[in-house]
Amino acid sequence: MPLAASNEVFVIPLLSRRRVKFRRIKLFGLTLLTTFWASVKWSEFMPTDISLFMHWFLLILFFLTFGWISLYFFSAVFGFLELVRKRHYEGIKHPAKDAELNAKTAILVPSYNEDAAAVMARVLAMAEDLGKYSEGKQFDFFILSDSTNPEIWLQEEVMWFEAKKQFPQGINLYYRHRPRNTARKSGNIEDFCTRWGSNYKYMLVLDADSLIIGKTMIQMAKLMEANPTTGIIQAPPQIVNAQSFFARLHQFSGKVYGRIVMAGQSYWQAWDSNYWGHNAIIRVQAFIDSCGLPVFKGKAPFGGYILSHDFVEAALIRRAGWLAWMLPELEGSYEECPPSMLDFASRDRRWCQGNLQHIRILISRKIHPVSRVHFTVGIMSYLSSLLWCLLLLFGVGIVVWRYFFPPAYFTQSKELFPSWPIFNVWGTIALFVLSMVMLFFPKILGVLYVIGKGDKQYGGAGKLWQGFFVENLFSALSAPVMMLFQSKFIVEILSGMDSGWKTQNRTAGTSWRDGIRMHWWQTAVGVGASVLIYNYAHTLFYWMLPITLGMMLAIPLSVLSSRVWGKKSKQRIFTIPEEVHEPDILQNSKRNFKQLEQFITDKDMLALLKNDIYVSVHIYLLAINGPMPDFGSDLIKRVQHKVSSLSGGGDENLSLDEKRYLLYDEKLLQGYAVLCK
Amino acid sequence: MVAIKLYQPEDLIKSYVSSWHIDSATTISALSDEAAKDVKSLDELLDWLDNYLLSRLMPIKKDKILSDGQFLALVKVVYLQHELYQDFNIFDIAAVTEDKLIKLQEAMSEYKFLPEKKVVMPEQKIKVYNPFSLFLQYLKKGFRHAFGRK
Repeated sequence: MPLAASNEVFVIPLLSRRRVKFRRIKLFGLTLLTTFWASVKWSEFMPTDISLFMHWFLLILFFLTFGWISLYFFSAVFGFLELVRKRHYEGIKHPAKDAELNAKTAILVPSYNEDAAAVMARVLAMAEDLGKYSEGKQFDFFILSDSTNPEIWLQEEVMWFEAKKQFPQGINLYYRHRPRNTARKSGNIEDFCTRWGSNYKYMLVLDADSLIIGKTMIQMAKLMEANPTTGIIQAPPQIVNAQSFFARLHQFSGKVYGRIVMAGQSYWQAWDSNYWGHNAIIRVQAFIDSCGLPVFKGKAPFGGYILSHDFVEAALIRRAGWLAWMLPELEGSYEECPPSMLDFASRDRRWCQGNLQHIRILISRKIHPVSRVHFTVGIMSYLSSLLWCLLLLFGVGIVVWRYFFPPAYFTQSKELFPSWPIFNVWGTIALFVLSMVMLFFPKILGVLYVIGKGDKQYGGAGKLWQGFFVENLFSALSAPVMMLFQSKFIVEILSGMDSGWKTQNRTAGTSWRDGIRMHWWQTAVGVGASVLIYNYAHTLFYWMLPITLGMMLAIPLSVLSSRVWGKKSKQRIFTIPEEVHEPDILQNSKRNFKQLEQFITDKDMLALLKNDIYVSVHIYLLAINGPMPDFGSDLIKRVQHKVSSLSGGGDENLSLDEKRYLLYDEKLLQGYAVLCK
Repeated sequence: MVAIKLYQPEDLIKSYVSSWHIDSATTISALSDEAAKDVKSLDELLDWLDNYLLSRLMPIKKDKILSDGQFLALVKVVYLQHELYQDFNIFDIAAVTEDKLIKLQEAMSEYKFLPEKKVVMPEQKIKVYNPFSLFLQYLKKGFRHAFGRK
């Protein structure tokens, strides 16, 4: 049962509601004031010869996009001030140093067609780290597989079996494969909660690429114990293990600027923070009672299962009266970054759909206002791209229009004075400069904060500024490419296209072939726009060049940034402390990977089935997984026929679906395994 | 091909019971190529199982939980399913009594996956507002907050 049925019951002795309210008034007040002021100025500066409709349309677009930048700017500034003041994150009660931990926590690792050895290597590294502490025995790991690829499924089981041998005493490692991945990750977690959740007081939800040090996991559980009204504590993950230029750039920006943004969010969100779906600890009973997600009426993309479940779960748990905290001070929480622009965009496609689906929840009953802000922020992170795209399109459109249809200075006959169209160029430039300052200033604060701390592990101040300039140059060039991607995603989603559920690529780079295939249209848009602007809106040509150039260079930008550049050294660009002194858990995870990978060097299902023990392990685990999904009688007959007609040595002529069925049919599998030898 | 039984605890017991009728030549399987190469005697086999496999997959403390006879039975049950290892005729199946079997069953229940505690997650209602009424509601709240009685 929740400890409180409404928000009003909570008394937070360490941080008064009034203070939090004042913080929010300051942040949103400044954001709104600045946005209103800039919008009024923009209204004054806009060309006078456009229609009233166009005037208001551009004004609304400007208001929304500028407001978005403004919120980011002020949030970061307050975050910076918080960091400089070295304030302890207020409100949450910190446990005593000698506090005992008696509650059990399940560490959930959902996996969907991921590299089984890499996932298990990380799990083993976390378990080893937890094993160093006496409290480590209060944690159990659950690998919750939703993998649909039968070969990966089998590999996961082999990895489970091999990793279990090395697990520290007292920490359990369980593996469960879900026959049907209903509702994707949220369904996966829900399945755990309804079957085993009640054995645990807390669950620490991870992603397949997550890593958290043992000390932090214990600290998170102790924080939950010390704060019985808290439902979620989010430990902001930091990107690590980046290899490609693209991933290292994001790793650098996350490390240098990210903490300011996090501190800013924590400053005004306080106990109404969000949940990002991983690297967070959740009170199981609160989650069970309040986070059963409904299925929306209608078809995907807006109907069906809720995709970006994390924001919704945070809103629901908050609606039920539990508190949600995001604590940037929880260090040692890591994740990885997609290695290339295309993988980033592929992930964005899913997130974009999930966030747009939130429009329905945004205006639903009894949702906390701050949760509505979270939804709005999520929606705007994608919608702002389309708005920006429209703003550019209409801005250029007006100038091109004027080329073909010059202004009529004398609209009536015998008019004494001409009606001059007025466009305040310098005013517009000033607004543009202001927008750029608001975009870049938080990043500058990030660099200054690191320099101020005297941290030498970034390669020195020179390397930091070098990283800052290269990061901004790349961001400026890639932003129009991502804008086009995201605008396309929104159009696709609005026209009813579902994103599906693809496995995330975490290692491979982009080939030139893929680069051309995926980016040709952006290059074409860039070239087309440049030609159009050069010929018909020449005055804008150089102003638009950073945008059109980025589009034209989309292919090389995407391909080259997905590569690994430069040798590992403390002096290379984008160096972060975790690269100079790699934390133990990262080193151990790499060591474990090398060791575990040996067991599945031949990743083929056939090769694994040659090992009797692995077959037995698979059959042992089948009982846990639940009933076999419906494969259809045709497929079953086909597999039975194929296997029974084998003469020995196995056969690779089975489709993935057929192999999947085979893994469910124990007798057939055993026969097949014998024939594989 | 030898009929292969399962590793699941309940099925293992069933398979064990049914295996009582298997003739005395029935022996434990070739556990794996590695075991087949290394194991030369019963003691070696037990050690191999204990150290290499069972201690990890099913961490049995044979000296604490199971008697040697029970452990032997367990080993036999678990690996009965494999191809027969003709050179070893080491298990006297009949020596395992019903009583030992029950104890064995109890012991094996520990190796099950964590027991399920089934609960239901109630589906939450998310009722969509009319955006206009939502706006009015916030407006009303704002006015009450600003001008209402404290």
